[in-house]
Formats: sequence, C-alpha cells, structure tokens
Amino acid sequence: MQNLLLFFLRYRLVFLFVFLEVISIGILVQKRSFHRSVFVNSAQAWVAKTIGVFGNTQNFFQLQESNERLLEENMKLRSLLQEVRGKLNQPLQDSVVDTVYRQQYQFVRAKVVQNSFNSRNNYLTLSAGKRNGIEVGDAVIGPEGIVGIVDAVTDHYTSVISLLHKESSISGKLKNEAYFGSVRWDGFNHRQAQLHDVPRQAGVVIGDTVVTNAYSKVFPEGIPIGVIKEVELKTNENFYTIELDLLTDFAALSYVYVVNNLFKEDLEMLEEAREDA
Amino acid sequence: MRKIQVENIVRWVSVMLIQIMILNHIMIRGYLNPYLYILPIILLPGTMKGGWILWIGFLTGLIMDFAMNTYGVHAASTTAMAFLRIQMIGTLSGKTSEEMHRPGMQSMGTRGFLIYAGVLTLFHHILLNVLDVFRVSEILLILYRSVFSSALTFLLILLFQLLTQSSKRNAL
Repeated sequence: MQNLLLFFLRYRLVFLFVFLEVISIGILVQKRSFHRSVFVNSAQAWVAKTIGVFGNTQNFFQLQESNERLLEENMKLRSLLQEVRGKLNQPLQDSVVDTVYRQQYQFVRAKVVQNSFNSRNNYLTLSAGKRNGIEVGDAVIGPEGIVGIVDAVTDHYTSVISLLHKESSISGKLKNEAYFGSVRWDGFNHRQAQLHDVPRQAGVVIGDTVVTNAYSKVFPEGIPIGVIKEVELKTNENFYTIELDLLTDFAALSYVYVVNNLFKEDLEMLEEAREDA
Repeated sequence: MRKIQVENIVRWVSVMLIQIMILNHIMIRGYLNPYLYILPIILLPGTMKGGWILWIGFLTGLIMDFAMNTYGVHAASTTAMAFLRIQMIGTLSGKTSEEMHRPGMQSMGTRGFLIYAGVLTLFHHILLNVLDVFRVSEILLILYRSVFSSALTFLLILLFQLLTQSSKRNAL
C-alpha cells in the first residue's frame, strides 16, 4: 500500500499531465455533445460577451466598410426587384393564390460575435438563437455569399460550421451551365476554396461564378459562392480541379443572415415516403 | 519574489490580449497565424512547481479554445508543451532549475534560449496542427502550417524578448 502511494506521489506530475490531456482530447472528440451541455454554452456565451466588448470597438472601425457592403447589397436587391417586377408585368398588390408565390425562405438577421478563420476547422458564433427562430441545419449567408450551416442553437446564441471546415461540403453549380459539383476547403488560403467533381464535358470558364444549386435542401438556389480563378484538367481524369476565389471575406464578417427553409419538413416527409415505398 | 510574480501575471495578461485582439486577426498568406500566447508559459519561473505549470498551460489553452472556437485543440497542445518545458528547463544551460528565476537570453545564453524556445514552439505548433487537421491525406497542410506558423511565432517571441529586455536595462 505504501509502495503504491509512493508510486503515485513520484509520478504525480505525469498523472496530472495525462489527466489534463484526457480532458482536452475529450472536449475535442465530444464537441458535438459539448454544444448541448449547459456549461460550455454558458462559458462560450460569457467569452462571446467579453470578446463582444472588444468586438464593438472593432465594429466601430469597420462601420464604413460594413455600410458600403450593405449599400452594395441593397443596390443588387433593388435591381433584382425591378427585374422580377418586369417579369411579373403586373402590380405586386394583386394577390394570386399560388404555391409558387408562397414564401419558402425566412431570413433572420444575426450579428457575428465570434469568428475564427485561422484553424482547419472554423466556427462562427452568432448573437441570435432559438428565440429568433433559428434551427439546427439552417443556412447562413453573408452580404456577398454563403457562410456556412448552423450546427447548434441555444436560446440566444448560434454556432455555425463555417465553409472553412474540414467537413463542410456544399453543392455548387456553374452559373451559366447545368453542371454542378461540391465546394470544399483545402485548409490553405481562407479566401479560396475548391470545386470538385465537375465532369470534363462541362464548359468551365475562368471568371465564371459558382452559385448554390436547387438540389440543396439547406441553401436557396443561386446564392453566390465564388468566382473561378484557376481550372486544371489532367489528361487521364474525368473531373476538373477548379480553384475558386470565395466571395465572402470571412475575416471581415460582421452581420449575416440565417435562412430557414420553411418547406424543409415537406421535403423530408417526401423523402421518408420515398424510402418507405 | 513578489516582483517576479507581478511580472509573470502582467506578461500573461498582456500577451493574451495581444493574441486575442490583434494576432488572431492576422492572416499571412491567408492561413498563417502566429500563436504568441505560449510565451508566458515558456517564461514561467523555473522554481515554479510542475503541477502549477501544467495547470496554467491547460487553462491558457482552454481560454484560447473558447476564444477561437477550437474545442480542446489548444488546451491539449499547450498542456503537452508545458510538460515538455518542465523536462527541458535547466538541462540546456546546465543550471539547476533553482537558478532559473527568469528563463531567458540572459540566464540561458542566447543559444540556449533559442533552442529552448524554438523546440517548444515547434513542438506546440506541430501538435496543434496535427490535432486540428487530423487527416493523413493532408499531411502537407500540417507541415506547411506548423513550420511557417512556428517561424512567425518564434520571430514574435524574439521581438518580445528583445523589447522587454532592453526596457529593463534602461530602467536599471
């Protein structure tokens, strides 16, 4: 017994080291369930608040830039509105009951309180949560393009898996062609991502825009992702290697929109029915 | 003795603030980021008990994890670095840990300190990136990030050391 005690005393530093490592690795492995734990949520909210104080000063210096981004976005939306009005060719107050015109997406504005982009696996924390109608699996977009997907929500905060994440894979299509592929990030430059699995018969042009496609249950169709920067096609391969310049500057995000697909349940029901059949 | 404690606390707080407010927003070539926050652990007094050093390393890493949404990656690598530091202190300069109130260029010699800080930085950054990327197919990314980030951190550590030492000399 005494020997055992002596043994523990002698190696107590090693035991402490192993103990602390087990905790750290445990957090890393269990991060999904950690999202739901009360302790981590409140700790993260606390850190988010503390950083929020610094963030506010930073926001202040970015005000002009943010304003310009918003103005630009407004301008785009206004021109889009004119286009749609022209297409409908009738006054908007005319009410037509048609499911085609039913609202499919609901947008929630949220402030980014915490944002990382220098790790291989990046997350964002937003200061809006369940109370604002945000659900797990919602899409997150910024003024310029896509940002990521919601992976956990508490009452007041939301954790978002950024596109800059090992497991992020978002379906994207060429704006001017029917071909599509998946957009992933290789972990190098946070302003660039790669488009995979586009077949060689597609006409890929440098400078073309890649947008989200209609097959996505999460993202609305046509949200910009990036602009094609480099195209490579090896002679014995069937798929392109495409380098994209991301439109969203993750280092300068201050406000984002969370997009809730109101038809998601419908879609899921349909898929379940198909699986049952 | 009191003076050394104050010095270490002030250094820890200021480096953490620099890391969170400035360095975390710096991206060189889009993905390289210095992690100066390991410096206060590297410079903790050699007389400090090993258990304390481990706990301080762990908590420093954990705070960085919360600040950067990285879930234990920083905590694990900083704890491991703290453990290596305990084994290394004193062995490079040939002095016992009792003499190492202030690990640094003066107490260890320039060469000793360069090796000491360099090994710890590289060890920390490699572990950090291995845990973060954790994919064999991306080993090139791990190497790239570790080597270049280490170089950046190391430069900042040297800069920090030179600045604080020269101001100390002026104060004397």
